[in-house]
Amino acid sequence: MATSATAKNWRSTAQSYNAGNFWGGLAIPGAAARLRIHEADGTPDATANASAFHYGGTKGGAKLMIKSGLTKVYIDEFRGPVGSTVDTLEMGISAELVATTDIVLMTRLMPGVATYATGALSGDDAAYTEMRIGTKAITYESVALIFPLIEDATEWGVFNIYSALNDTGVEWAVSRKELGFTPISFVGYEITSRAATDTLGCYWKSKQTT
Amino acid sequence: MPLNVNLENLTTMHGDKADRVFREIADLGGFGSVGSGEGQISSAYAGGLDVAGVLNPANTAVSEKAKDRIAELAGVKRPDAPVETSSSGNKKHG
Repeated sequence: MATSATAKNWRSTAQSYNAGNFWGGLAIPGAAARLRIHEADGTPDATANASAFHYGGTKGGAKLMIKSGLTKVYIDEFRGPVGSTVDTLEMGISAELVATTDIVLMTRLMPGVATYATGALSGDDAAYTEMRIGTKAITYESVALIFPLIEDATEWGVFNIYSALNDTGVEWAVSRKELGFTPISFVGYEITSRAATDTLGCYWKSKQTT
Repeated sequence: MPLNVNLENLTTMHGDKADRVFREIADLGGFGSVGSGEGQISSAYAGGLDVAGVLNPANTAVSEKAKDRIAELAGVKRPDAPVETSSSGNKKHG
């Protein structure tokens, strides 16, 4: 019987080599909804996300991660696995942020630890902006990495984690020869009472494709 | 009231009932339950809840009744609410 060729698909327009923008303080989307973005420039919609916070520049872009820990199930009668269970689930965004002297930003990177304050010292005119380190209630935030698509520069890819925090602290160099930056790693925490298929986040793009 | 609700703007509208309203919107809209425990949304989260997405007419995950209630609590008008026809033939917004 004769055979026929199957078309290849190099998916060249689905590649990723554009710079993105990292945002925090976003509104949490509801059931079957997504982060509202301003289509013209790919920023979070300012009305729906009035507290959005741009984390600024990165040294080398961002890395996006979704990992599940699968454990194989074996039964005595067979030597190969007959199934798998999902034991762990992780979703995260990591980058190296360069705005290390932005105290607001640095405070946000230290949830449960840093307390932001600003003002002028009494008795003199020395203004200050500070983050004090101790312990406090841990706060989570909805974060997203938004980037322009190669396939259509007017459309956007969105990697949104509904409830996340930076779990790596901050660490940076102050040097004449090296740009200071701090590695960050935002990891997602499940909102357990959401729909089981939608507890952690959503990776989507503003374009319908098959 | 913007299409984003948080404790601050709900307090403006509902006073000391704001926390209860925030919880009800979170529950009706499938955002998740509100509390200070693990796996919950803090009502103090300034980023708030995006109600525009759940009020979208194309969103079928949230019932029309729930959308009505969310819109009422958030003090917003539902965008392009579908028109329902009652048995008497009179049209009303669902």
